[in-house]
Amino acid sequence: MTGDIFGADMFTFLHAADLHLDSPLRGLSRYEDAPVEAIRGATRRALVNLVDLALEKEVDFVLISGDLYDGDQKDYSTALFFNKQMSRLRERRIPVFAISGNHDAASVITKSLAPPDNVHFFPVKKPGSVGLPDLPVAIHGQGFANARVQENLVLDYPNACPDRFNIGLLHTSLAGSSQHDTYAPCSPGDLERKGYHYWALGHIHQPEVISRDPWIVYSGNIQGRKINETGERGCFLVTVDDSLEVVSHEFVPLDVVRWNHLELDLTGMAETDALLDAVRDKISDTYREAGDRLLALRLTLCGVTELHGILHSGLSRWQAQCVGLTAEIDPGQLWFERLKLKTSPVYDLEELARRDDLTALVLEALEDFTPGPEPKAVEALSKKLPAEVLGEITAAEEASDLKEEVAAIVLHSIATSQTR
Amino acid sequence: MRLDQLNIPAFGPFSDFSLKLPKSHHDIHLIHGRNEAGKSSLLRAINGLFFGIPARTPDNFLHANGKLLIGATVSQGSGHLAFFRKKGNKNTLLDSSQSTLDESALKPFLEAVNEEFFQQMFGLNTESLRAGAGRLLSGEGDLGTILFSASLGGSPIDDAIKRLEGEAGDLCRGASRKDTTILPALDAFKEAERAARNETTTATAWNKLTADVARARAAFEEQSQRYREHRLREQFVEACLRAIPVLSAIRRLEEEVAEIEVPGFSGNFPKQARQARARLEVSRREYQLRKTQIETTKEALEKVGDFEKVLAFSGDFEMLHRRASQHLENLEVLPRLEAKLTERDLDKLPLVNAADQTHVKELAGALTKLEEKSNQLKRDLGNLRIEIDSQREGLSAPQDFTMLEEQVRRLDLFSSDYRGLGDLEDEMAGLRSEQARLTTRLQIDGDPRALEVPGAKTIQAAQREEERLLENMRDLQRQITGLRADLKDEEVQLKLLAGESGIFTPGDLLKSRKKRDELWAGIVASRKIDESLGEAIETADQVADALRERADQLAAASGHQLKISRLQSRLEVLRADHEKSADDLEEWRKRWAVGSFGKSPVELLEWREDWERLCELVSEGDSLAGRILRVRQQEKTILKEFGGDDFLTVHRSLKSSLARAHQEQGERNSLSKLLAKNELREVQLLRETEEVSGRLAELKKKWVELCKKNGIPVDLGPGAALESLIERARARDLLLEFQTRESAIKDYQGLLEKTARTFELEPSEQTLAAHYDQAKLDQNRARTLKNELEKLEREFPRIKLTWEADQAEVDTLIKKAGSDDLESVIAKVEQRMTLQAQLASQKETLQSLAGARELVDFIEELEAQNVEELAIEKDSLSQSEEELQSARDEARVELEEQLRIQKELSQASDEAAAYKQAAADALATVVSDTVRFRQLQYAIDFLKQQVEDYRQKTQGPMIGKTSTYFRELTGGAFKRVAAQLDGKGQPQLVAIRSGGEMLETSGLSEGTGDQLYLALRLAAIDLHLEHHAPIPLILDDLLMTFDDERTKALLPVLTDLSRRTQVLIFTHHSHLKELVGPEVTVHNLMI
Repeated sequence: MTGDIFGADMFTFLHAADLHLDSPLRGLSRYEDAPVEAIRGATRRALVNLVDLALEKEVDFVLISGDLYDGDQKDYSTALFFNKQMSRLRERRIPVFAISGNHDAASVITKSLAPPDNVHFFPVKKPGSVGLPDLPVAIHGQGFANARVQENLVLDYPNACPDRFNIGLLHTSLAGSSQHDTYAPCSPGDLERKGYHYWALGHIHQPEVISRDPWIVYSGNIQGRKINETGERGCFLVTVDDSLEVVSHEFVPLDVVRWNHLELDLTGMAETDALLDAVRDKISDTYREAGDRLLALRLTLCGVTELHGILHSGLSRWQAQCVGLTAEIDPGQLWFERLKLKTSPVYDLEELARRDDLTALVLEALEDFTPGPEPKAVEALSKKLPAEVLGEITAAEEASDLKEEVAAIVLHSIATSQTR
Repeated sequence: MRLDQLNIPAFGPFSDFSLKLPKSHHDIHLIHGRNEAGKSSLLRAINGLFFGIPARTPDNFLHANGKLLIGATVSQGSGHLAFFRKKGNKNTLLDSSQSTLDESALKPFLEAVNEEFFQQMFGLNTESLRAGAGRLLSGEGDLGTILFSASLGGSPIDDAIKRLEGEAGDLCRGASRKDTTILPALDAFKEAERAARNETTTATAWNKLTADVARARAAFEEQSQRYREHRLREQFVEACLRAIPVLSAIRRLEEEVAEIEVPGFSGNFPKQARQARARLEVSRREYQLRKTQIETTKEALEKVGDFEKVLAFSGDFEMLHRRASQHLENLEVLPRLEAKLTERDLDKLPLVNAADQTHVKELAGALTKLEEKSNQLKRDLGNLRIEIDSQREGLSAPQDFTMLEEQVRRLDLFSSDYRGLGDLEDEMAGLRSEQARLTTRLQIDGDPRALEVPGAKTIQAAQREEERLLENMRDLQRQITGLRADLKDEEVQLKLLAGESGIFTPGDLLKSRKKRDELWAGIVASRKIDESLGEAIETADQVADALRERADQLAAASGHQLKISRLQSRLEVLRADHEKSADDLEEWRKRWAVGSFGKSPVELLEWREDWERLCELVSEGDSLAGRILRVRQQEKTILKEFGGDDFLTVHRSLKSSLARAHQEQGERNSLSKLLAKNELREVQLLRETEEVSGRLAELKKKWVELCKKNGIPVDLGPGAALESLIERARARDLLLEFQTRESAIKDYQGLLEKTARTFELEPSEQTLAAHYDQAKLDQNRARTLKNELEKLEREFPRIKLTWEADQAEVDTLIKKAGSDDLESVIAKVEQRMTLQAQLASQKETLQSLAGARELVDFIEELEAQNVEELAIEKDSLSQSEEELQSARDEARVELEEQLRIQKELSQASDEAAAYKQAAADALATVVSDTVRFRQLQYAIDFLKQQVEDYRQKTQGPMIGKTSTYFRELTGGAFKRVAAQLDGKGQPQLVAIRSGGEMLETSGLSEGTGDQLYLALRLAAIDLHLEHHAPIPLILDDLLMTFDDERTKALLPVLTDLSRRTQVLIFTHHSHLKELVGPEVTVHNLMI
């Protein structure tokens, strides 16, 4: 058998992807005593964790399936840092096999700095293959030449080498991943037909094992960067035996900042003290499970509650209250990202309408309210905002949200306004 | 809703007042009443009827608050309700039978109209009209909102908009950054982005840096090369300049060397020659020295004395010397020994040999020990027996103390009571003292507990009742006093109004006219003219004139008269009440006097406290006395039983006895244990004693035998026997010593004399010792000399040979040198060598100057150089060196700087990433706050739009109706009103004349202003009636400021309005009755 020829009983490797080095974490508004230093260099520290893991486990090689950097990354220091970490692997003779993703293809620094000689980047114009001299492993891969690749790259990948553990590196959206733009689309069937043992995929930031025969795996990114990237992030540690079977496929978290989206149902709750206690308990429970990572929390309050109005009318104040609660629990390990309100009021609209004709008129009109052209004050403000900011704002809120929020604001302001 | 009828049993000036308001096509009623007829009270009555009589009301001057009652019958469509309202806090609405009615019964008639709204809209007098107009024109309230933009505030929507604008302003307020969040966050974002860009190391920058490093390195190397070449040339020139004189020196030296003629000795010839000469000198000196030493040593050897003879007797000398000190000692000790010996009688000391002596010692010792032990045993046994007897005696009589314990227990129990007796008696004394004090104060005889004193609550209730009665009287008195004051005022007013002509009433006119008519009728009947007719006619005319001319004054005077009359009747009532109150108080006091011990409630309360305290004291005292008596009796019993005068002494005594008994019991137990132990010990001692006695007898037998054997008296005890043995041995030793010493002295003396004779010396040890020492010294010296001589003679041949060899060598050198003046030859050789050395040195210098060049080539080059030219070149090179050095240093600095930057960048700093993170954080704030800002602005715009729509919807009709009413009220003098902005941008209402002239409300006359306000109010009522049920409109003397023309203009408007809602006009102007049309129902208010 192959093991006899090469003398290797088993080997291990790490599968990681989407490093997005030096990409900032999004959505964290700074406040006094916010743990700013804890998030500094989060992606770098996650990469260090990856290298430390490789050294600790003495893996035989490391796979990186694309998007080492952000597309708009211009800082050379990022590449230098990457090279320094790869040099640590080089000292212990651990090779790294990588492909460029859509972001790397767009990044100027990818082209500028050559990595250490233990890092092998697969070509971008056509697939390349590498056979490891001391192990029965063959690795195939092709990187992105441009930021958008809409053809199926898998079709040109070579067939599996016999008597070797064949690994395919690919940065792809994979048919069926509708949340992402189409990048090097392909289907699981395409991957299966190549006869490889393991497909190390990148591009989707959520870790997922698509298939175990063959192994089709998204390792996900090594560090979540925004609230929709919740849960643990890291890489897979894969162990293969001498019969070229994967005997262990273990997810190892590498992230140093973990995002968490909490929901709290306020149905039936009427006292602000009870609300604060519930929020405190919710955050405390999550904190206890976090270990020594920084937690970035978003809290969404929902349910039908008498507190609806007081929450909507003083959203900033409640946001500050939540920030204060996290600071009480552990200011160095909790960052409160945002408070969202999805509560419903318990107003008696009929009674409100009876108050006066104008109020009745307003309530009637509110039912048909649809957001129209931007208010002048918003237009004036928009002119001061850079395009990227406007883009973020547009992405942050959909029209239906706007209608709902405005209706809630109007309703509460009427319900709590001074009567004669 | 309309008022069908008003029934006022008691309110204000009304008593059982009733006013029917029949409905007709125009439901407008003019209620005429003089001043103070109660019109305003009537309006207040209607207000109170619907919404409750206020707690403080001015309408209780005739009827007490508790008696105030207002009633009415109202109808709405087909619904009717007859009800009353009384004054109170709750349940004030009553049905027709004056049973409580729920407030909700009025709801169908009032709908959503509350008191405030009613007063503002439907219950108008001039004051409320003008006040309401003021608020209205400032945009307050619904009408303000209707007239003007809602942003003037006051309505709930206005409030909502304000608060939303406030919140939005906290996020963004134009370009201001103070106390806002979005723009400062945006600034922070931009700043962070800028900083990130500044910190970013681009690939271009990196590549440029790499190129810069290479360029700097090349420049540095170039400069270094140039500098090196310069230095080389400079060194060459320098070398040449230095080498040329050296070359000259070499030439010169070579010449000098050639001039010196000496054989070709090697370079070390001078040294060699000198060394040979030095060696020769040394060897010659040594030879001479040795020779002299040998002769000297021989001479010394011959002079040494004859010591051998002395040394032949060295044994004797030694012995004498050794024994000298002993001899002296012997001489000293011998006399003492002799003396001691003469003291002892040796014959009497029997001789015992050593073995026997030891045996005797041992036996004596054992015997002595055994005797001592035997005696000790006997003593111990005796003591033990005494102790045993004593213990047995001690255990002989047991004691029973059970009864004693019981007695002590009883007394213990009693003792705590006994000890507390003192406290009890002290307490008793205190109680009695306080009791006496209180009894004196309260003036009570006998047992206070037997008295029947009312309870505290009863007394407090009586106190309250008294206070109430007193307060009532005081209140009535106050009212009486106030009323008197009012009465006096009215009388004064009346007097003033009366003036000189007096007060006439219509009654007076009737009377005077009646008198006149009677007189005239009399005249007509009798045809006689009564003289008083003229006066009567005059009087009547006077009265009529006065009534006409001074109608107002008379009317006012009439009012005052009426008021005076009412005050007087009220005063009477109060006086009656006051009297009754006094009677009530008196009656109460009579009732109180019974059982109150002649005290007031307050006094009785205080007295009662003391009485209660006294009762407690008496009870406590009785209890204490009982306890004291019991204790005393018990004491007597105990003393009788145990005897004695004092309980404590008896108690102590018994306790001591008991303690002793306990102690004895304990001791008996211990004693019994000890006795058993001692009895056992006695047995052991007896056994031991027997054993020791047996052994002692044996030893004594042996002792006797030994004494006999050694001639020791048996009667001597072992100790004495031992001593005599010791003494004997000591004496023997003395004798021996004496004999020995004596013999030694003799021997010594003999030897001394003999030796002295042999050498013919004085027979003294010192002399002989000195002689002997000297002989030994001579012996040593002779030995040393011999050794020395041998050594010298042994070395002498060799030294001689050495001297001869050195001499031969020197001769050889002389021969070689060819001169006897070896020194001179050496000098020449040395000179030549020096010159050669100098030559070699110069050549070496030249070679060093030549550097890597071959010396021959260098010399050739040197010979081709021109010294002057070289010097000039050297100067030139020196001057340019610094410049080249600076250039090279600059290049090096530049290179180091580039390398430093490269190294710094190689650290891969994350500053740029950190700034990007900061930018992202600021962006998050901008995004979240802008989203919120947007939501708020949409909400604000929405609300403002609704207000504007509402305004649009209602302002038009409101302005239109107001214009219509105003035009009608002013008889067309003004054609309309309009809402527009003033100079400060604030909305305002303006009146437009028929000619188009625009007047602000502040520019209108008072009357026209009232007309405008009324027009506004009527327009609002008109609008209200479009959507709500009618409410009676009450105008209370509103037309006071309206002249007839205006009144004539108003009445038709009101008449028209009355088709839609009931209109009640209160007035005191009687002429209005003539002004109104037939549609108006006129009521005269008479009370």
